[in-house]
Amino acid sequence: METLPLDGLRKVQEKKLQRILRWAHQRSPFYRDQFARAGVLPEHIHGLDDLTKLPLTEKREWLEAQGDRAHEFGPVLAVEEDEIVRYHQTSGTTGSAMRLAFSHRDWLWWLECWGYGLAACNLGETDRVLVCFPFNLFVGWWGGQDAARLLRCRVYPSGGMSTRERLEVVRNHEITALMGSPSYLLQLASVADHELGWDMAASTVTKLICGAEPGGSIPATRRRLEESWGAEVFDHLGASEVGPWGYECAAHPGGVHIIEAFFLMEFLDPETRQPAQPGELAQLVVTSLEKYAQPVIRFDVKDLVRLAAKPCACGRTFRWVEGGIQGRADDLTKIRGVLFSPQAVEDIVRSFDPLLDYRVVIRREGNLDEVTLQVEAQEQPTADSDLAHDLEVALKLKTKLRFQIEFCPAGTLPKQEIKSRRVTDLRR
Amino acid sequence: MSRKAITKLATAIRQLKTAAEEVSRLSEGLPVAEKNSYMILKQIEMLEIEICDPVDVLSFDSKDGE
Repeated sequence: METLPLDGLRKVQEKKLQRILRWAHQRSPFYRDQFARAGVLPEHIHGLDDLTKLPLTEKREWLEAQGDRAHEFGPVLAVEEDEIVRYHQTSGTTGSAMRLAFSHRDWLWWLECWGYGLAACNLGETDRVLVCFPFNLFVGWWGGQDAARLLRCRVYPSGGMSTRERLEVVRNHEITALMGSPSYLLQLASVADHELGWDMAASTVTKLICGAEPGGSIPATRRRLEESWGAEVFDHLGASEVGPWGYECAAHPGGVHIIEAFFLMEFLDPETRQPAQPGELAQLVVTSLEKYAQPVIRFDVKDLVRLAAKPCACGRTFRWVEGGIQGRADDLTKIRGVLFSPQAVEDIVRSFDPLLDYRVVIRREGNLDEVTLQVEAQEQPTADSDLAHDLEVALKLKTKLRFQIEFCPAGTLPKQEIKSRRVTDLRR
Repeated sequence: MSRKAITKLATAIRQLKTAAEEVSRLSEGLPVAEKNSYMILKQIEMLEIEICDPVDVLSFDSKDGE
């Protein structure tokens, strides 16, 4: 379906849309209520343009609806309880965790989505894939692992392993591809280099499949990953609530394709909520066309993206978003009246070779907001080093904010395998 | 793959589904067969959403056979 002409693809989407709308209206009290509030029925929605007759679905509404008991899913659920074969939950980075129910069918569909991405980076039966993931309730790379197996890769799950143990697997088993968060894959290379004296750029790894954080599409992070591993980087996008919706192809257009066979995307201006044009920053609203246990209709994922105006050179007709996720609407915060996106800092820090990891701390001192960048450096800069000054200037240029710079010894900032939390806002 | 071949594939998937439904029906009361025929049916649904849906919508049975 990746190469269907656009008008054909739209027809397929419309067929799937009508099917999922009917299902949601019939089976999910939550969505039946959404339809009722909008005064429409599924048969009133003939095409994609009619979809806006339905209200947006906010994560907050799902959370409120799921109720207090940990094993219940609330009125969003559209299958019988005994059809649920997997339980996952969101990482809870923005508050309470959302409970996610998967039927057999939904899980297989989830793997279909992953399959698009893994096939696009030419993963296949000659690949040995190490999945750097703790394998817990966060859905993360569970799908990536199962989809790689369906593509007949040899899969190495590494939950519970230490960084050194994973590196030994990479070396001893001649691993060809890694799945993990960009920051963890950088940490893996850093430990290999600084603690073991191993040059991972000379290893057998040729592909890095990144996800969970936006780093795979942030130029400086991506460059550092490529150099550290001597490997090709493939970004992979999704959200636990809606599914794995995006992947990077081998043409590397500088962004990520949308799996339009299974997802219907709307791009809205973050302020006016009116449709944004290609090239403009837009808030993503997702309808998952094949997700049945917990249907996702006009779900505001809060991710900011920029739809590319030109088709990709790879020949796929699935549209693509430039630079992956550009930020999150709920991560944007004002510091001294200036709108600040944490991703701007990532691009700067990763462009300074001696720096390993970082954290941004925002606090209020008197009536003023102060912002500090804590950075890990392999070696502490000397008093006459220009590093702090250069970093401060680069940050000022990019963010319009003056940062205080604090250097920390390597390994002292908190590390996460899944999603790094790099902003601490003490004003809240 | 040509349109003709994809249409043929969609037809084969439908035949496979009919056969799998029959296996599932005959499996009742035999857990080892029930669980596997159930999974086969779910896997066939993936073929339907990937192959049969576009064939149905786009009338791939045109004469051009591209």
